[in-house]
Amino acid sequence: MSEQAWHEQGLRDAALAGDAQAWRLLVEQHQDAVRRYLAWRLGGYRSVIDDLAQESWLIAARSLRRFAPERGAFQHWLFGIAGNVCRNHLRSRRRSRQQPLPVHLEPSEEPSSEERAERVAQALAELPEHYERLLRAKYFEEASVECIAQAEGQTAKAIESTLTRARAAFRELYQRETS
Amino acid sequence: MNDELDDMLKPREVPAAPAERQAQLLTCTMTQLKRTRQFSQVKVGALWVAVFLVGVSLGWLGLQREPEQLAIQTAPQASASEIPPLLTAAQIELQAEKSDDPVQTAQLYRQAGDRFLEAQDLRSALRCYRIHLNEGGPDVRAVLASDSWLLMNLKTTNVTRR
Repeated sequence: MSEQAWHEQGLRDAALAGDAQAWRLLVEQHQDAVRRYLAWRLGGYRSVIDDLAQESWLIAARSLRRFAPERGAFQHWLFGIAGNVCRNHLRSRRRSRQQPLPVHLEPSEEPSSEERAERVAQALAELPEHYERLLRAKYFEEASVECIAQAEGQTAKAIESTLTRARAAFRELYQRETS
Repeated sequence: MNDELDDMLKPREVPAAPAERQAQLLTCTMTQLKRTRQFSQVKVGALWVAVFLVGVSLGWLGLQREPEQLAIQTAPQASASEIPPLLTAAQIELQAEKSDDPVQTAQLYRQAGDRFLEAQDLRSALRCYRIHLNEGGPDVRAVLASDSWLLMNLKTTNVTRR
């Protein structure tokens, strides 16, 4: 295990044993990243970010025992939870379409950006998990193809080709949302 | 289209959560964490109690059960008509002579005949078999698979004669 994994395992064990300081450290280290990730997943609208972040953290606290540092970083585990929370939120919103969108966009954005934000969020929510992971690494984490290839244990060429397919899948889902 | 896609997927800047919101998040997650820990402790406790109860129940059931009776099979008692294997052919013949029951007499003569035959005393065996056939009447004249070669021969001869 890497040094980071040992560190995160220590914090997890301490938090599970009731050490409030360890849990506080985990929350403080990652809460901004979770909020940014939710903003990316939601395509730009922010009003639900706080609620979804809180829900994600509650789930993380409830299932902290299931976090296995040897399988991945705590942040990626949190992103997995936040992604599911986001998907559930969009699904329930889709079921009750008549509700007005609680969208607050940046002032610079065009009015039509509200719709675009929702379509981006829906398309990301419907993408297969491995495509979403690659797009997240490429666009949200702004990692280079070489870095992604190393993390995924694949060649750069293979990652490029998967990224092309992931973009095409995203575009298709986005256009389907538009139509 | 790629530029548009890059724009759609670019990271979004979000302002940091207000301090009170952060405090609220910490408070509710810590409560959740504490509750989860208590729940798992209760689960472990319940497991121990369950194991203890199962042990006590098994012990109690073990005490309640009556000791198993050993099935002792006694050897069937020899009937009056059966002859202990230690008796010699002459002794069996003597018993047959003493017996008042014709059926038992016939049976004893047959056994005496068998013993004599085993001892290669053909003359005595022949005598005993003849008495067996005379005393037993028509019931014993049928040839049986258990008959010795001599008795079988006598029976078939008798049938032929008749």
